[in-house]
Amino acid sequence: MAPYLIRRLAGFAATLLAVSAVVFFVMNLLPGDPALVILGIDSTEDARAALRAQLGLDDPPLLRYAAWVRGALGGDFGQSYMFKVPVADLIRERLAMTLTLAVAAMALTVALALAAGVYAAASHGRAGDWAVMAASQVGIAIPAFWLSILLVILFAVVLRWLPPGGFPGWDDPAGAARALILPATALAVVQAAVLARVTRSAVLEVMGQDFVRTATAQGLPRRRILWRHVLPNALVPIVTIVGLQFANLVTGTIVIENVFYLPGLGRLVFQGIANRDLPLVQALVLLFAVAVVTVNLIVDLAYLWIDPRLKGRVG
Amino acid sequence: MLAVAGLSVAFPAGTAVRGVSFTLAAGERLGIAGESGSGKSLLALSILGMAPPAARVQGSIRLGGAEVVGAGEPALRALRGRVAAMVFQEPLSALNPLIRIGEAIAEPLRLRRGLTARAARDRAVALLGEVGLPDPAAKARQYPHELSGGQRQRALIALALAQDPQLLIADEPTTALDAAVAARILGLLAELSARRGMALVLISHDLGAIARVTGRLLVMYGGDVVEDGPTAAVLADPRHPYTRGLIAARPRLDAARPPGTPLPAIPGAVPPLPALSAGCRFADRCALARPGCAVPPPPVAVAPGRVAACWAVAP
Repeated sequence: MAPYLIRRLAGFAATLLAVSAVVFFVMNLLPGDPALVILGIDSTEDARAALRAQLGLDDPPLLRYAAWVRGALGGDFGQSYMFKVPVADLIRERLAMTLTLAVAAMALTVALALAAGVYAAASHGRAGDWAVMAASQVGIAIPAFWLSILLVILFAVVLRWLPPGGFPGWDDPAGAARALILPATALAVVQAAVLARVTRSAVLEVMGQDFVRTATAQGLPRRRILWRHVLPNALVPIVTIVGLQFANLVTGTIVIENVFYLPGLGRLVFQGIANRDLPLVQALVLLFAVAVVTVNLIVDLAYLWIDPRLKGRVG
Repeated sequence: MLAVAGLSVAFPAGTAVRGVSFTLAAGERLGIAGESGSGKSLLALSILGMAPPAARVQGSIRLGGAEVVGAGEPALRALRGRVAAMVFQEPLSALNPLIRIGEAIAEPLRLRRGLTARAARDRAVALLGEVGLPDPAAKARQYPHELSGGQRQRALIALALAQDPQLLIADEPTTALDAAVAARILGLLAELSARRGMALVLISHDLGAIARVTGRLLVMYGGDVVEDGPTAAVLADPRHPYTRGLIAARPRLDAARPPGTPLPAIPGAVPPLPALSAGCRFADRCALARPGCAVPPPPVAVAPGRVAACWAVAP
């Protein structure tokens, strides 16, 4: 068990190092001159050359990469070209927003998908099953940004229950929660549609196993059998998909935050790319990568927690 | 305590159990013998109202004073585990791999008998002791995959005993075990039945196992009961040609059989459901078959307390 953890953590660190290299060099290969963006097209070539030198853009790439990694390890991602403040401060301000949105969307996804998927499996071949399958087919087909617009029209414009966008800040917790309901729903519906199908087929497969018959022969209630005996045995494929969906969710927040004018990392990365703000974009892409790799690690550890038989195998 | 009358279980492909009748007194031990496909497992599942959804069950099964055929789910749940419990063939797959042995047994005690968590845990350990598991408290904390095959089968028996059933149905309980372990499990079943005054139905293709444990024997072929009588009498003096074939086909160490000669066997195999004849179902494989066998033979009393269903058997 312990050697396995050490191996996994070493792999985790190696992955992050590789990701950071890819992020850095791809960003620096992109065409476009940050100095031109910062100073504007009216600037002189001399001024731009001076700025490039000051920003260290003329140094050899490997040297710049090493400096960047050294800074990143200490939490220093440099200065944003656009905002003229440390990138770390920008991220810190907006992380709570995106993290809350992502966690809320993921929780909603899992809750919706498990309820719908288990219900569909339990009513296999009957109307409830068909209804869930049809609804999930529609859910898969709808892009999140389009669903966002529909949700805004219905709940913000017609019914006026929820704000159409914007964020009142964390000092107003009720307002903050209300502002997140529509974006989290828009993100969750598509993901839940996929996950509900995975859940349904995983649960159906487990329902045919012998221990379900044993539980039935004990006279246990059907609902108890489904949630206590069947679902835990169906969790491995479900958790796998949840892990993959988390990466979708990260990219999904970029779109959704722009649709709903939420001041999160997604909007920040959008602005950063538009303005060739290299330090900002590098840091954000690295952060998203860290999030995805971390979730994958958590998923792998979750397998061990779900199934005690695996503990003996990982050594 | 159990009265089966005119029981038929039909699938769209054919009739898998055809007009089976027998009764079982409290504390009585009954063996049901037959090849794979003879309908014995389906008969057992039908007693608990657990035939597959596609099956059409007709006739009557009275279990502990209640009618099983046509009963609703709540009525069936009241019977399952409490009046009749079941032990399945493959103890590894019959136990939920994610639930510790002790918790598996404590669950029905809490949910069905209203025991507190603590009392249920203690009772589970006591039951594991009763079925002869060494160090039951430690075994209760283990997962099924951490136990040996024989220990698992004992744990499964303990689970079946949890609700103090009046009838225990054991479906091929020793098939997955090696011979020495199988013999001890059979001894345990006989001992539990005697000590608790619990009726026992032992389903097996192993006539030796049935001879050790049961006082009465039903021989099934193709969904029919072909012979019914005291176990010792039926084995000593089989009347139905199928029973004779089954006894002759037992592998024996003491038989004078030159090395290299094949074991005696009944030619052919039980045909698949759609191919089963409308008349005597054994006729295709029977040396005594004659034109009259196209009509299903009625059960005939061949000796006091003994019945066989064969046109070739004159009383």
